[in-house]
Amino acid sequence: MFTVDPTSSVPIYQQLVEQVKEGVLKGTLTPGDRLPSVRELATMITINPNTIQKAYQELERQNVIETIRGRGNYVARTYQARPDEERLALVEEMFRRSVVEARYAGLSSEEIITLVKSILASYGGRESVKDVKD
Amino acid sequence: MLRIKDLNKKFGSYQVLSDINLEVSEGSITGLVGPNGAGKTTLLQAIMGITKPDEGSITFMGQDIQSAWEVKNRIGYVPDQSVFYPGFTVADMVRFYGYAYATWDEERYAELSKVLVLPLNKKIKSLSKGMKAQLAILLALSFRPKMLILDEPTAGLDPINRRLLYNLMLDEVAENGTNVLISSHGLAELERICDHIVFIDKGRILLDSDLDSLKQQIRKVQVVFQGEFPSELKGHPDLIGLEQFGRVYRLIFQSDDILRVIQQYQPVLLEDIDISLEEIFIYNVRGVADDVKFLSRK
Repeated sequence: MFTVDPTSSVPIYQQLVEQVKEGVLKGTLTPGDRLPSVRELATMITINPNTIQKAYQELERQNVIETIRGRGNYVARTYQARPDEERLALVEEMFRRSVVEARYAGLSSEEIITLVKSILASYGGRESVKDVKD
Repeated sequence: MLRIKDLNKKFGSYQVLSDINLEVSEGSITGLVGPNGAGKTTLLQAIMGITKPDEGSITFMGQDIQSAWEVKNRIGYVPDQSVFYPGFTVADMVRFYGYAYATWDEERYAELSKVLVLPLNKKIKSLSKGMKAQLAILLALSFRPKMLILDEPTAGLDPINRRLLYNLMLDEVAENGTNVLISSHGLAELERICDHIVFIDKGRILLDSDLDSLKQQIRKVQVVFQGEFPSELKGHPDLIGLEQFGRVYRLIFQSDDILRVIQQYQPVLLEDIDISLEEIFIYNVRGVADDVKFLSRK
């Protein structure tokens, strides 16, 4: 994990935030896992340490990770999905784009719903991020 | 941390640097970008006191850089061309730095020289360009600098050594919060490692911005209009770039005004596409003029 595309218009720190979240959902990162330190990750993927710091701060703000001073960053054990409005709007926008693409690809409403269901199933059918816990 | 105010420099009647104002804040990695002959090296040399500016001031850690040797000795400088004595061996050069810099750290040097392995008994003049660059960075990091000034440090390095050099630099920044001012033509690499970008052309600063906000300010969209390309967009001052492929236009711009105009025409297609630092650079330097000429020729 942790590959970034610097030419993307999505800021690098945002890409990292998304990748950690995706890792947690997929189960490649489990609660309590230690993330690389800022210094380690910076040289692992050749990215500005300030950018990585920014990503970790954002992940901490969203309660995805916990930072224990002097010890490191860990995937949070007590993640609570907080549906704030800003994030809901983003999710809706992303779905909207996908629906447009799907329509252009010739999918019916039924087929789109089936597709979404199969994607959800690929994440282990967990009902929420909380269920990842154990 | 580093502050440059109203810097001017002429070589004869040629204005190399005009009204340069620049600030590199603590913990930042700033990329200095510009075409050949833009004045990048002269600016970096002025900071190091190698070139004396005609006007303006440069302060580092709050002190004037021209007079305060103690502060200048905290800057690690990697020039674009090797300035080491050609008759010295690598070991001589290491010893020389040990004497010259009060903050020389033998332990740090030992640690770094495990990663950057150089032939100690070889003379400087028999080293390859890449080896000289590696020696320069090794020496600059070994006296625990507060700031690094790197003038095209990766020119002539192979991809593996280039990455190694960047990683050493990033490690230094992560560990010690060292400031970096780096000039390079490797824009894809700068995009990874810099948080701040300064464009310079013909001795002037064209743009000085946080990289994340730069990429949000400058947008690139792909549009298909129902009819002709709107004439009011042609000469729009905020339009930086324009390309055409059949009915598809790609516009690069830095204001929402253009987006509003596009939307008024109810385009068949309007979508955002990614823009790289390289594109931002090319359009900023070359400007829209050439594209417009190209378009009108057809």
